[in-house]
Amino acid sequence: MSCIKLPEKKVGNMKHEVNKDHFPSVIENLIIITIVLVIGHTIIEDLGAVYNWSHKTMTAIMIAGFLFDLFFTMEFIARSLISKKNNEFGFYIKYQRGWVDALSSIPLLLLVSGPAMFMLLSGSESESIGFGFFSILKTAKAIRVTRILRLIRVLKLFGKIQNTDSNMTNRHMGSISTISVVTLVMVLVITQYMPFARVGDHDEYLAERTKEINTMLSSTGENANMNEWLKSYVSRSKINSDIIELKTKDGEILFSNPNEENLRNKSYNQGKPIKLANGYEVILSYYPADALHAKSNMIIFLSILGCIFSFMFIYSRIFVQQITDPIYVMTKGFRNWDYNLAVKESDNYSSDEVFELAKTYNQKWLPLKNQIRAFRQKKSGAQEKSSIKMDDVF
Amino acid sequence: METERYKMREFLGKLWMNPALQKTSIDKKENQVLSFLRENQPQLQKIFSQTEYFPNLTWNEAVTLLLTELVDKLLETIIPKIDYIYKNMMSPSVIQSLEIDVNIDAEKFKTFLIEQMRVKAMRDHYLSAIQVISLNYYANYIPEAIERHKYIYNEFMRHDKLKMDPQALITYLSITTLFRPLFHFPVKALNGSNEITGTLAKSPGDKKSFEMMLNSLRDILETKIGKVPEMIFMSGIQSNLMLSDFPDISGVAKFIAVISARSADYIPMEKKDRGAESPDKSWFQINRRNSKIYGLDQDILDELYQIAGEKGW
Repeated sequence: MSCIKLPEKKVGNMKHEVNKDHFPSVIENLIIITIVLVIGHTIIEDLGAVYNWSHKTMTAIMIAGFLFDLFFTMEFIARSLISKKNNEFGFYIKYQRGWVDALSSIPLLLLVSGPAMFMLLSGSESESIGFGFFSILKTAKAIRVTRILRLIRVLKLFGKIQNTDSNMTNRHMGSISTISVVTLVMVLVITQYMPFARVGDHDEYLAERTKEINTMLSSTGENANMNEWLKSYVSRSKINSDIIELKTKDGEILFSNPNEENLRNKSYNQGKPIKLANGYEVILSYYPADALHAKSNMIIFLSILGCIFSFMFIYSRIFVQQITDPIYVMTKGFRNWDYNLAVKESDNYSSDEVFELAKTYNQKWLPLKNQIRAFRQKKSGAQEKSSIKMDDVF
Repeated sequence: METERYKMREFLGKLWMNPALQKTSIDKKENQVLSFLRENQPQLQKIFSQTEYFPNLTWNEAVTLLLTELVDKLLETIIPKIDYIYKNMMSPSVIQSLEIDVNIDAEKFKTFLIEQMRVKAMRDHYLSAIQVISLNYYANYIPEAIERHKYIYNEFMRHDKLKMDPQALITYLSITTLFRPLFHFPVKALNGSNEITGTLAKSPGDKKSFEMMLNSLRDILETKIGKVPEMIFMSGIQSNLMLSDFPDISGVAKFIAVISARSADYIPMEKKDRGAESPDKSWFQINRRNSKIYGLDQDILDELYQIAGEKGW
């Protein structure tokens, strides 16, 4: 199918092309590769949280996340500057999904990877609770939610995959994907603020676990045999894998988690003990809450990828067959006197406006065009205009 | 002169191989070359007078040479097709399979065809007829139509009483198609003491003149190629008539008329767009609606439309 004319939007007195790139193709291709990489990075980051990978690995993933966010922020700034220079900034933000670029870069750099990187470099990682940024993050409650915004980058990828020559199809696929992705992301973000729906909230997890451990301790009382039993029980049961350390009121360490080094970085109360019933003290990790949250993220993330791929490979085909192709054939038939192929009509969707139009085109316009052509040919005799040009011969 | 002929052949070769004409059928190709000459005469006249072209020829001489070479080029292209028809359809064994008395001298018929090709007025019609056979429409549609036992079958078997198998019917239709151009063959006939000159195409409404010209044409043919069976001769002629004016023409004539009209609109290597119907199906669909205007049989068009749809042609 040859390309239908590129759509142009008119902003003020200027015309802008929707699909026009800001950068040379090498850079645009590099951005596509980076988007694919960041999709992989997002999955790996969540897997790391689910399986509680080592601190070293998670630090490397965090650094990579920072570099990605920095790259995309720079990309957004560069695109903004270029479009501003061409007096197209508003057009870029509105029609070229500049708002997606903005949303999936700057907030992440400022609220997620930037502060994390700063803490890492300043060596204040373990004392993060006292760090100034943290209050901002805590207030915004965005640190674990904004990460989801990375998923919106998938949309940029869709924008680059032109699965047909039809700009209308690509634009509509882009719109429906944007709506789906943003809806899913927004649902996930909003549910973080709904007590009945949020998953992996640290405070809720702490309250729940403290209650469970207290119940366990209250039922056991306090004597030497019971402490032995507790020690054995905590070390054996998987549900207590978030307990970093358990002490009696005398300061005797009943249980120390062999995975302590990894868990300390995700501990409540900066790794200081939390007082429990009967004088017991516990140092507790919130990694299961993070793992739960990462799982829900992954479900949404995979849903988004599933939706995007379904739109790209299934719905776009339906759209093309039922809308783009009939319109393309009719447009060609209206423009070109020598093009006389009928539009494929659909028996199942014959009442659709497009197929109603196609029927009229087939039954009225094509026969009429045929008559007009025959009349013209008869009028001009065999003296039809030559298709050979002088330049082709000499 | 030999040098000029060589140069002209080279020039014509350039025109013939022009990319704009690669999707054009051979009969339309000639008209395209002639249109090119007509449209660009002033420039061509200047160019032809240059030393590297034809400085020793006047414009008229150059055009005459070009037209001669053009006819040779056309014949060079078309003779293998005539040979194919001659070999496959006019051979005694095939003629015998038709189970009708055909006394056409195949060799003379071939000579007659080539002779007719040299005349521009007849060439267009013969090129169209050869195009109809070469495009294999009969070979594609006849077996399907016969198998269906519907309108086309009834027209051939009941109306025309042709008790042939599909293969023989294809041959029969192909031979009959070669007599279709005779509608435009210039003939002289005597109406009492008055001599009528013209073609059948110009007098289908005048029954008397038409009959006289038909008789005259029959005589000419008998002299030139032998006795042509009346069914073949008449169906070939009738295939040019408007069905609305002559509703009693043979089924074969109606079928040839439809296929000839289809072939005339055939576009070689036509690209089928994804949302479009196939070229044949589209054509039959359009012409079902215009059948009355063009004097074609709507029932034949309907059936061919169905076949084209089912076969994806």
